[in-house]
Amino acid sequence: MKNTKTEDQENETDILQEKLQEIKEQEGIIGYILRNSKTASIDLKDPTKIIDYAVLSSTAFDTGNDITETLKLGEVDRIVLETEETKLLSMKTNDHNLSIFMEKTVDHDKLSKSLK
Amino acid sequence: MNRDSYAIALKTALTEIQKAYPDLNHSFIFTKNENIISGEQETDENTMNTVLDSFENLKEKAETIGEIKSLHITGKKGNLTLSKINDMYLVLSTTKNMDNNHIHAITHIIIPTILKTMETIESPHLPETSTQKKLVVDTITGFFAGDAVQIDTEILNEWTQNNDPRARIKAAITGEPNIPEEINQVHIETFSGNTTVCKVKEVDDQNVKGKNMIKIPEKLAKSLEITKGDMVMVKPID
Repeated sequence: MKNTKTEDQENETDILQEKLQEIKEQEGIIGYILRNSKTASIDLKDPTKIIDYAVLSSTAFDTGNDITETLKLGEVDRIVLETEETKLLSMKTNDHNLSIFMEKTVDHDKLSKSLK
Repeated sequence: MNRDSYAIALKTALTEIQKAYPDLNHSFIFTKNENIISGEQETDENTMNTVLDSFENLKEKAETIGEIKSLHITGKKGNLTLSKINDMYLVLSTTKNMDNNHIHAITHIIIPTILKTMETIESPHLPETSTQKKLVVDTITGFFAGDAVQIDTEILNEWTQNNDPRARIKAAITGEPNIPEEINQVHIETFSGNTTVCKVKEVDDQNVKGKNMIKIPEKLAKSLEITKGDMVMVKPID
C-alpha cells in the first residue's frame, strides 16, 4: 500500500516536471524552482541567480504562511509577487513548493490553472 | 495638515471603505520606510506590525527581481492584496467572496483619489501666499564677485518647500524630511521696475545670514541701477 502511494506521488511529480518543461519553453518564462522536503529541481535561464531566486522563493512561502496565519486567511494556495518587470508565482502542488519566475507580461492565472 | 491629521483622515477613509465593502476584513497603509500610517478601526497594531515585518523581509529578498509593486496571497479562507501607491503600500485583507473589481477600485481609484484630494486640500494652506521676498541689497565687490547673487539658505529652503506641495504632503504623511530641490536661478525686480534673472547660491557671509539680505555682484547691481541698502523683490525660478 505504501509503495503504491509512493509510486503515485512519483508519477505525479514526473507529470509535474513534464508540465514545467513545457512551461519553461514558453515566451517570458525565466525559470522555476520545485522543492519538497527531500529534493529540489531548479531550472533558470540565468544560473548565476540560483541562490538569490531560491532564497526569494523560500521567503515568499514563509511570508505567505506568516501573513495568512496572522490574518486568519487559511492555508496558502498561491502567492503572486510583481515588480516593475518581473513576476513570481509561488504555489503548493503535489506536496511541492513551486515557484515560477516570469516576465510581467506572462498570464500567471493561466499558468496557475494549468498546474492544478 | 500635519501627519496626525493625515493619519486620521486616512483612518476614517479606510473605515468608511470597509463599511462599503463588508468582505474587506482589514486594511491599512504603511510607507516604504516601514512606518504604519493608518489602519481602519478593526485592525490592531500588533497585526499590522506582524504583516509589516513579514513583508519587509520579503521586500529585501525580492530586490533581486526589483522593487515590489504588488503582492497577492490567496489563502483557503481569504486573500491578501498589497499594492504600492506612490511611496506607500496599501494592505487589504479580504474574504474569498470579495470581487476583484472592487479590490481594483480601492487600490487604483479610491485610495489614490483620496491621497490626491489631500494634496489639493493642502495647497490653500501654504503658509506663504507668495514666494516673492522683499530683500535688502548688499553688494559683492572684487575679483571673485562672480555673476551669482547670494541669498540666505533659510529663504532658499523655504522657497523650495513651498514650491512643491506634493513633496510637502509626502513629508507630512511619511514623517520624512522635506528635502528641497535645488533652486538655481532667481528673478529680481527693483522698485524702479528693472528686472533680471540670475544665478543664485547660498550666502557665504555669516554676518548677512538671517537679515533678509541679498548680496548682488557690483556689476549686476549697477545694471539694475541699485546700490547697497536698496530694497528689491526676489522670487525663485523653477
